[in-house]
Amino acid sequence: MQLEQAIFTSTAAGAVQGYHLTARSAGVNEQLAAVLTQWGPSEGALPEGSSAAESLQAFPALDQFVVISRTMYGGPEYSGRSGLQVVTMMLVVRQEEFQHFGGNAIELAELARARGMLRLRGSVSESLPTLRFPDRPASRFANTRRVLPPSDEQRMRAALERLRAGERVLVIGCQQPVVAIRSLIEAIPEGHRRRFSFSTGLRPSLQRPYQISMLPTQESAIRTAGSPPGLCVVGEG
Amino acid sequence: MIMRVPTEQNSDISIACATCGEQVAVASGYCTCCLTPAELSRSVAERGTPARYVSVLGASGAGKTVYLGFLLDMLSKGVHDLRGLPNGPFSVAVQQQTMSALEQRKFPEKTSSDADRWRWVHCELSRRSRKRQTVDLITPDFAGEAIALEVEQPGFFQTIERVVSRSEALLLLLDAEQVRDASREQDFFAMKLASYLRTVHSKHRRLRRGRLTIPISIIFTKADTCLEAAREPETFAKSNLPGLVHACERTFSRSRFFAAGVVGSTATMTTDLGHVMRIPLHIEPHGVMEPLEWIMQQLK
Repeated sequence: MQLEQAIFTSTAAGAVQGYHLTARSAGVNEQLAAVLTQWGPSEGALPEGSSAAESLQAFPALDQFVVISRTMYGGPEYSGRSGLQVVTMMLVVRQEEFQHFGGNAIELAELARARGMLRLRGSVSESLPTLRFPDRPASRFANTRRVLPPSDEQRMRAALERLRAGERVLVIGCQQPVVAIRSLIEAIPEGHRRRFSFSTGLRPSLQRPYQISMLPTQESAIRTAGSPPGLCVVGEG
Repeated sequence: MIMRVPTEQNSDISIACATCGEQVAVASGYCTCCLTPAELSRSVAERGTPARYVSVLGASGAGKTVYLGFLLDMLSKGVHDLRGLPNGPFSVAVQQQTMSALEQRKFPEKTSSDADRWRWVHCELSRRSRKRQTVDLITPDFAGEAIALEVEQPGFFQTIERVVSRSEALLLLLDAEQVRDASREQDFFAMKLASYLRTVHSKHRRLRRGRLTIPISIIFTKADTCLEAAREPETFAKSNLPGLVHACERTFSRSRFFAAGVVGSTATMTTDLGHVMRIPLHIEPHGVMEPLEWIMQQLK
Protein backbone atom coordinates (compact mmCIF):
# COMPACT_ATOMS: atom_id res chain seq x y z
CA MET A 1 0.00 0.00 0.00
CA GLN A 2 1.02 3.63 -0.23
CA LEU A 3 1.42 6.15 2.56
CA GLU A 4 1.37 9.86 2.19
CA GLN A 5 3.59 11.84 4.50
CA ALA A 6 4.06 15.32 5.85
CA ILE A 7 6.25 17.24 8.29
CA PHE A 8 5.00 19.91 10.66
CA THR A 9 7.57 22.12 12.31
CA SER A 10 8.90 25.68 12.56
CA THR A 11 10.99 27.14 9.76
CA ALA A 12 11.47 30.46 8.04
CA ALA A 13 11.47 29.05 4.54
CA GLY A 14 9.62 30.92 1.82
CA ALA A 15 6.52 32.94 2.47
CA VAL A 16 5.56 31.27 5.74
CA GLN A 17 7.39 31.65 9.01
CA GLY A 18 6.89 29.67 12.16
CA TYR A 19 5.03 26.43 12.67
CA HIS A 20 3.39 25.11 9.54
CA LEU A 21 3.34 22.11 7.21
CA THR A 22 6.86 22.44 5.85
CA ALA A 23 6.84 19.40 3.59
CA ARG A 24 4.28 17.00 2.17
CA SER A 25 3.86 14.32 -0.45
CA ALA A 26 1.72 14.70 -3.54
CA GLY A 27 -1.31 12.94 -2.11
CA VAL A 28 -1.76 15.51 0.68
CA ASN A 29 -4.21 17.94 -0.87
CA GLU A 30 -5.20 21.32 0.58
CA GLN A 31 -8.14 19.94 2.53
CA LEU A 32 -6.02 17.26 4.15
CA ALA A 33 -3.21 19.76 4.74
CA ALA A 34 -5.61 21.97 6.68
CA VAL A 35 -6.51 19.06 8.96
CA LEU A 36 -2.86 18.17 9.49
CA THR A 37 -2.12 21.80 10.32
CA GLN A 38 -4.90 21.92 12.88
CA TRP A 39 -3.50 18.85 14.63
CA GLY A 40 0.12 19.95 14.32
CA PRO A 41 1.78 20.52 17.69
CA SER A 42 3.86 23.65 18.13
CA GLU A 43 5.87 25.38 20.83
CA GLY A 44 5.11 24.03 24.26
CA ALA A 45 3.22 20.94 23.10
CA LEU A 46 5.82 18.57 24.50
CA PRO A 47 6.35 18.65 28.25
CA GLU A 48 9.41 20.57 29.33
CA GLY A 49 12.34 19.07 31.09
CA SER A 50 13.89 16.76 28.55
CA SER A 51 15.05 17.27 25.00
CA ALA A 52 14.43 13.54 24.53
CA ALA A 53 10.68 13.92 25.09
CA GLU A 54 8.61 12.44 22.32
CA SER A 55 5.06 11.43 21.59
CA LEU A 56 3.19 9.08 19.30
CA GLN A 57 -0.22 10.08 18.00
CA ALA A 58 -3.04 8.86 15.83
CA PHE A 59 -6.21 10.61 14.73
CA PRO A 60 -8.82 10.28 12.00
CA ALA A 61 -8.64 12.83 9.18
CA LEU A 62 -11.67 13.67 7.07
CA ASP A 63 -13.59 10.41 6.67
CA GLN A 64 -11.19 8.35 4.67
CA PHE A 65 -7.84 8.66 6.41
CA VAL A 66 -5.98 7.91 9.61
CA VAL A 67 -2.91 9.94 10.49
CA ILE A 68 -0.13 8.43 12.54
CA SER A 69 2.51 10.83 13.73
CA ARG A 70 5.52 11.11 15.96
CA THR A 71 6.53 14.34 17.66
CA MET A 72 9.94 15.08 19.03
CA TYR A 73 12.35 17.94 19.57
CA GLY A 74 14.56 18.92 16.66
CA GLY A 75 17.26 21.54 16.49
CA PRO A 76 17.11 25.05 17.88
CA GLU A 77 14.10 27.09 16.87
CA TYR A 78 15.03 29.08 13.74
CA SER A 79 14.41 32.56 15.10
CA GLY A 80 17.20 32.36 17.66
CA ARG A 81 14.90 32.57 20.64
CA SER A 82 15.45 30.10 23.43
CA GLY A 83 13.87 26.72 22.90
CA LEU A 84 13.99 23.79 20.53
CA GLN A 85 11.76 23.36 17.53
CA VAL A 86 9.01 20.76 17.85
CA VAL A 87 9.04 18.43 14.84
CA THR A 88 6.18 16.12 13.87
CA MET A 89 6.54 13.47 11.21
CA MET A 90 3.15 12.39 9.86
CA LEU A 91 2.05 9.35 7.90
CA VAL A 92 -1.36 9.27 6.24
CA VAL A 93 -3.03 5.92 5.56
CA ARG A 94 -6.38 5.15 4.01
CA GLN A 95 -8.96 3.72 6.38
CA GLU A 96 -9.57 0.59 4.30
CA GLU A 97 -5.85 -0.19 4.35
CA PHE A 98 -5.56 0.69 8.03
CA GLN A 99 -8.02 -2.11 8.78
CA HIS A 100 -5.44 -4.64 7.50
CA PHE A 101 -3.48 -3.70 10.62
CA GLY A 102 -6.50 -4.38 12.79
CA GLY A 103 -7.06 -0.64 13.15
CA ASN A 104 -4.10 -0.63 15.55
CA ALA A 105 -2.04 2.49 15.01
CA ILE A 106 0.72 1.27 17.30
CA GLU A 107 1.16 -1.82 15.12
CA LEU A 108 1.54 0.34 12.03
CA ALA A 109 3.75 2.89 13.77
CA GLU A 110 6.18 0.25 15.00
CA LEU A 111 6.51 -1.22 11.54
CA ALA A 112 6.98 2.26 10.12
CA ARG A 113 9.77 3.03 12.56
CA ALA A 114 11.43 -0.31 11.82
CA ARG A 115 11.47 0.74 8.14
CA GLY A 116 13.12 4.07 8.98
CA MET A 117 10.03 6.26 8.88
CA LEU A 118 8.82 8.71 11.52
CA ARG A 119 12.41 9.75 12.17
CA LEU A 120 14.12 13.10 12.26
CA ARG A 121 16.03 14.00 9.13
CA GLY A 122 18.91 16.35 8.66
CA SER A 123 17.47 18.11 5.67
CA VAL A 124 14.11 17.87 3.97
CA SER A 125 12.77 19.18 0.70
CA GLU A 126 9.27 20.63 0.53
CA SER A 127 8.14 17.82 -1.72
CA LEU A 128 8.22 14.39 -0.11
CA PRO A 129 7.79 11.06 -1.86
CA THR A 130 4.74 8.88 -1.40
CA LEU A 131 5.95 5.83 0.53
CA ARG A 132 5.53 2.17 -0.27
CA PHE A 133 4.49 0.13 2.74
CA PRO A 134 3.62 -3.52 3.42
CA ASP A 135 -0.08 -4.27 3.09
CA ARG A 136 -0.08 -6.25 6.30
CA PRO A 137 1.94 -6.56 9.49
CA ALA A 138 5.06 -8.72 9.31
CA SER A 139 3.69 -11.61 11.32
CA ARG A 140 0.82 -12.07 13.67
CA PHE A 141 2.66 -14.87 15.41
CA ALA A 142 5.84 -13.08 16.26
CA ASN A 143 4.24 -10.35 18.37
CA THR A 144 6.04 -10.13 21.62
CA ARG A 145 4.04 -8.27 24.20
CA ARG A 146 5.63 -6.44 27.03
CA VAL A 147 3.91 -7.03 30.31
CA LEU A 148 2.19 -3.91 31.55
CA PRO A 149 3.05 -2.81 35.08
CA PRO A 150 0.02 -3.24 37.34
CA SER A 151 -0.29 0.52 37.80
CA ASP A 152 -0.48 1.02 34.01
CA GLU A 153 -3.06 -1.74 33.73
CA GLN A 154 -5.14 -0.06 36.39
CA ARG A 155 -4.94 3.26 34.61
CA MET A 156 -5.92 1.76 31.27
CA ARG A 157 -8.91 0.01 32.81
CA ALA A 158 -10.09 3.28 34.31
CA ALA A 159 -9.44 5.13 31.06
CA LEU A 160 -11.35 2.57 29.01
CA GLU A 161 -14.31 2.92 31.34
CA ARG A 162 -14.35 6.70 30.82
CA LEU A 163 -13.89 6.35 27.07
CA ARG A 164 -16.89 4.03 26.89
CA ALA A 165 -18.86 6.73 28.70
CA GLY A 166 -17.96 9.10 25.87
CA GLU A 167 -15.45 11.17 27.79
CA ARG A 168 -12.03 12.42 26.81
CA VAL A 169 -9.31 11.21 29.11
CA LEU A 170 -5.93 12.40 30.30
CA VAL A 171 -3.82 9.63 31.82
CA ILE A 172 -1.02 10.68 34.13
CA GLY A 173 1.97 8.66 35.16
CA CYS A 174 2.01 5.64 32.85
CA GLN A 175 5.40 3.96 32.93
CA GLN A 176 5.09 2.50 29.44
CA PRO A 177 2.65 4.72 27.55
CA VAL A 178 3.07 3.12 24.11
CA VAL A 179 2.58 -0.39 25.47
CA ALA A 180 -0.36 0.84 27.52
CA ILE A 181 -2.04 2.41 24.51
CA ARG A 182 -1.53 -0.77 22.49
CA SER A 183 -3.31 -2.78 25.19
CA LEU A 184 -6.10 -0.20 25.28
CA ILE A 185 -6.56 -0.36 21.52
CA GLU A 186 -6.73 -4.15 21.68
CA ALA A 187 -9.55 -3.85 24.19
CA ILE A 188 -11.56 -1.72 21.76
CA PRO A 189 -13.64 -3.65 19.18
CA GLU A 190 -12.02 -3.39 15.74
CA GLY A 191 -15.02 -1.68 14.27
CA HIS A 192 -14.62 1.21 16.72
CA ARG A 193 -10.92 1.76 16.18
CA ARG A 194 -11.14 3.69 12.92
CA ARG A 195 -12.07 6.92 14.71
CA PHE A 196 -10.04 6.38 17.84
CA SER A 197 -7.45 9.08 18.59
CA PHE A 198 -4.65 9.18 21.10
CA SER A 199 -1.43 10.90 22.09
CA THR A 200 1.21 9.31 24.28
CA GLY A 201 3.01 12.50 25.28
CA LEU A 202 1.52 15.80 24.11
CA ARG A 203 -0.03 18.34 26.43
CA PRO A 204 -3.82 18.37 26.02
CA SER A 205 -5.17 21.14 23.85
CA LEU A 206 -8.59 22.13 22.57
CA GLN A 207 -7.04 22.32 19.13
CA ARG A 208 -6.12 18.61 19.21
CA PRO A 209 -9.10 16.82 20.76
CA TYR A 210 -7.52 13.41 21.30
CA GLN A 211 -9.83 10.96 22.98
CA ILE A 212 -6.97 9.92 25.21
CA SER A 213 -3.86 11.91 26.07
CA MET A 214 -1.01 10.79 28.26
CA LEU A 215 1.57 12.68 30.26
CA PRO A 216 4.34 11.35 32.46
CA THR A 217 3.51 13.59 35.40
CA GLN A 218 0.89 16.07 36.47
CA GLU A 219 2.28 19.35 35.23
CA SER A 220 1.71 22.49 37.19
CA ALA A 221 -0.15 24.11 34.30
CA ILE A 222 -2.67 21.28 34.32
CA ARG A 223 -2.83 21.15 38.08
CA THR A 224 -3.98 24.75 38.11
CA ALA A 225 -6.92 24.05 35.80
CA GLY A 226 -5.00 24.73 32.60
CA SER A 227 -6.45 21.61 31.03
CA PRO A 228 -9.17 21.86 28.41
CA PRO A 229 -12.59 21.64 30.02
CA GLY A 230 -14.36 18.31 30.03
CA LEU A 231 -11.19 16.28 30.38
CA CYS A 232 -11.26 13.36 32.78
CA VAL A 233 -7.90 12.95 34.51
CA VAL A 234 -6.84 9.42 35.43
CA GLY A 235 -3.77 8.85 37.54
CA GLU A 236 -2.15 11.34 39.86
CA GLY A 237 -4.73 13.47 41.62
CA MET B 1 -7.58 8.43 41.01
CA ILE B 2 -10.16 10.04 38.77
CA MET B 3 -10.91 13.72 38.76
CA ARG B 4 -12.75 15.78 36.25
CA VAL B 5 -11.95 19.22 34.88
CA PRO B 6 -15.16 21.32 35.30
CA THR B 7 -17.40 21.77 32.31
CA GLU B 8 -20.48 23.78 31.66
CA GLN B 9 -22.48 20.75 32.71
CA ASN B 10 -21.20 20.69 36.24
CA SER B 11 -20.92 24.38 37.02
CA ASP B 12 -23.75 26.59 38.26
CA ILE B 13 -22.32 30.05 37.58
CA SER B 14 -22.21 31.41 34.05
CA ILE B 15 -21.56 34.85 32.58
CA ALA B 16 -21.56 36.40 29.13
CA CYS B 17 -18.23 36.18 27.32
CA ALA B 18 -16.70 39.65 27.05
CA THR B 19 -15.59 38.94 23.48
CA CYS B 20 -18.40 37.05 21.77
CA GLY B 21 -21.32 37.28 24.19
CA GLU B 22 -21.84 33.52 24.53
CA GLN B 23 -22.61 32.14 27.97
CA VAL B 24 -19.51 30.87 29.75
CA ALA B 25 -19.37 28.65 32.83
CA VAL B 26 -16.97 30.44 35.13
CA ALA B 27 -15.51 27.19 36.41
CA SER B 28 -14.78 25.94 32.89
CA GLY B 29 -11.93 28.40 32.42
CA TYR B 30 -12.67 29.42 28.82
CA CYS B 31 -15.40 30.45 26.47
CA THR B 32 -15.80 27.39 24.27
CA CYS B 33 -16.57 29.62 21.29
CA CYS B 34 -13.63 32.02 21.28
CA LEU B 35 -11.43 30.78 24.18
CA THR B 36 -11.57 34.09 26.03
CA PRO B 37 -10.62 33.33 29.62
CA ALA B 38 -13.66 33.20 31.88
CA GLU B 39 -11.71 35.25 34.40
CA LEU B 40 -11.45 38.11 31.91
CA SER B 41 -15.17 38.01 31.19
CA ARG B 42 -15.89 37.94 34.88
CA SER B 43 -13.70 40.97 35.61
CA VAL B 44 -15.40 42.91 32.81
CA ALA B 45 -18.82 41.89 34.10
CA GLU B 46 -17.95 42.95 37.64
CA ARG B 47 -16.70 46.29 36.41
CA GLY B 48 -20.07 46.96 34.86
CA THR B 49 -18.95 48.86 31.76
CA PRO B 50 -18.45 47.17 28.40
CA ALA B 51 -14.88 46.48 27.36
CA ARG B 52 -13.41 48.57 24.55
CA TYR B 53 -10.92 46.30 22.83
CA VAL B 54 -7.55 47.31 21.45
CA SER B 55 -5.63 44.31 20.16
CA VAL B 56 -2.19 43.49 18.79
CA LEU B 57 -1.47 41.60 15.55
CA GLY B 58 1.67 40.68 13.67
CA ALA B 59 3.50 37.93 11.82
CA SER B 60 5.62 35.28 13.50
CA GLY B 61 8.82 36.84 14.80
CA ALA B 62 7.59 40.43 14.55
CA GLY B 63 8.14 40.89 18.27
CA LYS B 64 4.59 40.88 19.61
CA THR B 65 5.45 39.29 22.95
CA VAL B 66 8.38 41.61 23.63
CA TYR B 67 6.52 44.72 22.48
CA LEU B 68 3.38 43.84 24.42
CA GLY B 69 5.28 42.86 27.55
CA PHE B 70 7.33 46.02 27.50
CA LEU B 71 4.32 48.18 26.74
CA LEU B 72 2.51 46.73 29.73
CA ASP B 73 5.55 47.32 31.90
CA MET B 74 5.69 50.97 30.87
CA LEU B 75 1.96 51.40 31.32
CA SER B 76 2.14 49.97 34.82
CA LYS B 77 4.67 52.69 35.66
CA GLY B 78 2.57 55.42 34.08
CA VAL B 79 4.94 56.75 31.43
CA HIS B 80 3.97 59.90 29.54
CA ASP B 81 0.27 60.65 29.67
CA LEU B 82 -0.87 57.08 29.65
CA ARG B 83 -1.17 54.61 32.45
CA GLY B 84 -2.52 51.12 32.62
CA LEU B 85 -4.00 49.02 35.35
CA PRO B 86 -3.81 45.24 34.82
CA ASN B 87 -7.21 43.71 35.37
CA GLY B 88 -6.59 40.33 36.94
CA PRO B 89 -3.41 38.41 37.74
CA PHE B 90 -3.50 36.68 34.35
CA SER B 91 -2.85 40.08 32.74
CA VAL B 92 0.60 40.29 34.26
CA ALA B 93 1.85 37.03 32.74
CA VAL B 94 3.05 38.49 29.43
CA GLN B 95 4.74 41.40 31.17
CA GLN B 96 6.40 39.01 33.61
CA GLN B 97 7.47 36.59 30.88
CA THR B 98 9.05 39.37 28.82
CA MET B 99 10.79 41.27 31.58
CA SER B 100 12.12 38.09 33.20
CA ALA B 101 13.53 36.88 29.91
CA LEU B 102 15.15 40.21 29.10
CA GLU B 103 16.69 40.41 32.56
CA GLN B 104 18.26 37.03 31.87
CA ARG B 105 19.67 38.31 28.60
CA LYS B 106 17.37 36.33 26.38
CA PHE B 107 14.23 36.78 24.34
CA PRO B 108 10.98 35.11 25.42
CA GLU B 109 10.25 31.73 23.90
CA LYS B 110 8.11 31.46 20.85
CA THR B 111 4.37 31.69 21.45
CA SER B 112 2.46 28.43 21.02
CA SER B 113 0.08 28.08 18.08
CA ASP B 114 -2.48 26.44 20.39
CA ALA B 115 -5.16 29.04 20.92
CA ASP B 116 -5.95 27.73 24.41
CA ARG B 117 -2.36 28.38 25.47
CA TRP B 118 -2.26 32.03 24.49
CA ARG B 119 -1.69 34.45 27.32
CA TRP B 120 -4.37 37.08 27.48
CA VAL B 121 -3.89 40.65 28.55
CA HIS B 122 -6.50 42.98 29.96
CA CYS B 123 -5.16 46.38 30.88
CA GLU B 124 -7.43 49.30 31.64
CA LEU B 125 -5.92 52.36 30.00
CA SER B 126 -6.50 55.92 31.03
CA ARG B 127 -4.95 59.29 30.32
CA ARG B 128 -3.84 61.64 33.06
CA SER B 129 -5.11 64.57 31.01
CA ARG B 130 -8.50 62.96 30.31
CA LYS B 131 -9.33 60.78 33.25
CA ARG B 132 -12.81 59.94 32.03
CA GLN B 133 -11.54 58.29 28.90
CA THR B 134 -10.82 54.63 29.57
CA VAL B 135 -10.02 52.02 26.99
CA ASP B 136 -9.23 48.35 27.47
CA LEU B 137 -6.09 46.91 25.99
CA ILE B 138 -7.49 43.39 25.57
CA THR B 139 -5.60 41.01 23.41
CA PRO B 140 -4.25 37.51 23.53
CA ASP B 141 -0.57 37.32 22.78
CA PHE B 142 -1.34 35.67 19.44
CA ALA B 143 1.02 33.28 17.73
CA GLY B 144 2.09 34.87 14.48
CA GLU B 145 1.61 31.76 12.40
CA ALA B 146 -1.95 31.50 13.72
CA ILE B 147 -2.60 35.01 12.43
CA ALA B 148 -1.06 34.10 9.08
CA LEU B 149 -3.16 30.96 8.86
CA GLU B 150 -6.34 32.80 9.85
CA VAL B 151 -5.68 35.41 7.16
CA GLU B 152 -5.29 32.65 4.56
CA GLN B 153 -8.22 30.61 5.86
CA PRO B 154 -10.67 32.90 7.69
CA GLY B 155 -12.43 31.08 10.48
CA PHE B 156 -9.57 28.68 11.20
CA PHE B 157 -8.97 30.43 14.51
CA GLN B 158 -12.28 31.69 15.86
CA THR B 159 -10.43 33.49 18.64
CA ILE B 160 -8.67 35.78 16.19
CA GLU B 161 -11.79 36.58 14.21
CA ARG B 162 -13.80 37.32 17.35
CA VAL B 163 -11.16 39.52 18.94
CA VAL B 164 -10.49 41.42 15.73
CA SER B 165 -14.19 41.99 15.14
CA ARG B 166 -14.54 43.28 18.68
CA SER B 167 -11.58 45.65 18.44
CA GLU B 168 -12.09 49.38 18.25
CA ALA B 169 -8.42 49.88 17.40
CA LEU B 170 -5.49 47.74 16.33
CA LEU B 171 -1.74 47.70 16.72
CA LEU B 172 -0.15 45.94 13.73
CA LEU B 173 3.50 44.95 14.17
CA LEU B 174 5.92 44.42 11.30
CA ASP B 175 9.58 43.46 11.68
CA ALA B 176 11.55 46.39 10.26
CA GLU B 177 14.50 44.18 9.34
CA GLN B 178 12.24 41.75 7.50
CA VAL B 179 10.50 44.60 5.73
CA ARG B 180 13.84 46.00 4.62
CA ASP B 181 15.34 42.66 3.56
CA ALA B 182 12.27 40.76 2.30
CA SER B 183 9.86 43.56 1.56
CA ARG B 184 7.73 41.78 -1.04
CA GLU B 185 6.75 38.92 1.29
CA GLN B 186 6.07 41.34 4.12
CA ASP B 187 4.04 43.56 1.82
CA PHE B 188 1.93 40.62 0.65
CA PHE B 189 1.29 39.53 4.21
CA ALA B 190 0.34 43.04 5.29
CA MET B 191 -1.97 43.49 2.30
CA LYS B 192 -3.70 40.21 3.07
CA LEU B 193 -4.07 41.24 6.69
CA ALA B 194 -5.59 44.58 5.70
CA SER B 195 -8.05 42.76 3.45
CA TYR B 196 -8.85 40.32 6.24
CA LEU B 197 -9.52 43.14 8.68
CA ARG B 198 -11.95 44.71 6.26
CA THR B 199 -13.70 41.39 5.67
CA VAL B 200 -14.08 40.67 9.38
CA HIS B 201 -15.35 44.11 10.26
CA SER B 202 -17.67 44.17 7.27
CA LYS B 203 -19.11 40.83 8.34
CA HIS B 204 -19.54 41.57 12.02
CA ARG B 205 -20.44 45.22 11.84
CA ARG B 206 -22.39 45.01 8.62
CA LEU B 207 -20.25 47.59 6.91
CA ARG B 208 -21.03 47.64 3.23
CA ARG B 209 -19.18 50.60 1.84
CA GLY B 210 -16.59 53.11 2.81
CA ARG B 211 -13.41 52.76 4.72
CA LEU B 212 -13.08 51.31 8.18
CA THR B 213 -12.97 53.97 10.85
CA ILE B 214 -11.07 51.95 13.43
CA PRO B 215 -7.65 53.54 14.00
CA ILE B 216 -4.69 51.34 13.16
CA SER B 217 -1.14 51.92 14.32
CA ILE B 218 1.32 50.12 12.07
CA ILE B 219 4.54 49.67 14.00
CA PHE B 220 7.94 48.77 12.58
CA THR B 221 9.49 46.76 15.41
CA LYS B 222 13.20 46.21 16.02
CA ALA B 223 13.76 49.66 14.56
CA ASP B 224 16.97 49.97 16.55
CA THR B 225 18.57 47.75 13.90
CA CYS B 226 16.88 49.53 11.01
CA LEU B 227 17.61 53.23 11.15
CA GLU B 228 15.68 53.97 7.98
CA ALA B 229 12.50 52.85 9.71
CA ALA B 230 13.37 54.56 12.97
CA ARG B 231 13.98 57.96 11.38
CA GLU B 232 11.08 58.16 8.95
CA PRO B 233 8.58 55.33 9.27
CA GLU B 234 6.14 56.83 6.76
CA THR B 235 8.81 57.15 4.09
CA PHE B 236 10.12 53.70 4.96
CA ALA B 237 6.64 52.30 4.47
CA LYS B 238 6.15 53.99 1.11
CA SER B 239 9.51 52.74 -0.12
CA ASN B 240 9.18 49.15 1.07
CA LEU B 241 5.48 48.40 1.46
CA PRO B 242 3.73 50.14 -1.41
CA GLY B 243 0.93 47.57 -1.43
CA LEU B 244 0.17 48.08 2.24
CA VAL B 245 0.30 51.86 1.94
CA HIS B 246 -2.19 51.73 -0.91
CA ALA B 247 -4.36 49.22 0.97
CA CYS B 248 -4.39 51.50 4.02
CA GLU B 249 -5.48 54.48 1.96
CA ARG B 250 -8.32 52.46 0.51
CA THR B 251 -9.34 50.49 3.59
CA PHE B 252 -8.72 52.60 6.68
CA SER B 253 -9.70 56.21 7.28
CA ARG B 254 -7.26 56.44 10.18
CA SER B 255 -3.88 54.75 10.05
CA ARG B 256 -0.40 55.82 10.90
CA PHE B 257 3.09 54.35 10.73
CA PHE B 258 5.41 54.23 13.71
CA ALA B 259 8.79 52.74 14.58
CA ALA B 260 9.64 51.12 17.89
CA GLY B 261 12.48 49.27 19.51
CA VAL B 262 13.04 47.70 22.90
CA VAL B 263 16.58 46.38 22.96
CA GLY B 264 19.32 48.71 21.92
CA SER B 265 21.49 46.04 20.38
CA THR B 266 21.77 42.30 20.14
CA ALA B 267 24.51 39.74 19.80
CA THR B 268 24.55 36.24 18.38
CA MET B 269 25.72 33.44 20.59
CA THR B 270 26.45 29.82 19.82
CA THR B 271 25.96 27.39 22.69
CA ASP B 272 28.12 24.36 23.38
CA LEU B 273 25.46 22.29 21.60
CA GLY B 274 25.75 24.40 18.47
CA HIS B 275 22.50 26.27 19.06
CA VAL B 276 22.51 29.81 17.71
CA MET B 277 20.67 32.32 19.86
CA ARG B 278 20.16 36.06 19.72
CA ILE B 279 21.00 37.85 22.94
CA PRO B 280 19.57 41.21 23.93
CA LEU B 281 22.50 43.24 25.20
CA HIS B 282 20.64 46.01 26.93
CA ILE B 283 17.22 47.60 27.18
CA GLU B 284 16.75 50.85 25.33
CA PRO B 285 13.08 51.39 24.55
CA HIS B 286 11.98 54.00 22.08
CA GLY B 287 8.73 54.55 20.27
CA VAL B 288 6.89 51.97 22.39
CA MET B 289 4.17 54.23 23.80
CA GLU B 290 3.56 56.55 20.86
CA PRO B 291 1.39 54.17 18.78
CA LEU B 292 -0.95 53.58 21.69
CA GLU B 293 -1.02 57.26 22.61
CA TRP B 294 -2.08 58.07 19.07
CA ILE B 295 -4.83 55.48 19.27
CA MET B 296 -6.08 56.94 22.53
CA GLN B 297 -6.26 60.33 20.86
CA GLN B 298 -8.28 58.84 18.01
CA LEU B 299 -10.76 57.10 20.29
CA LYS B 300 -13.45 59.20 21.89
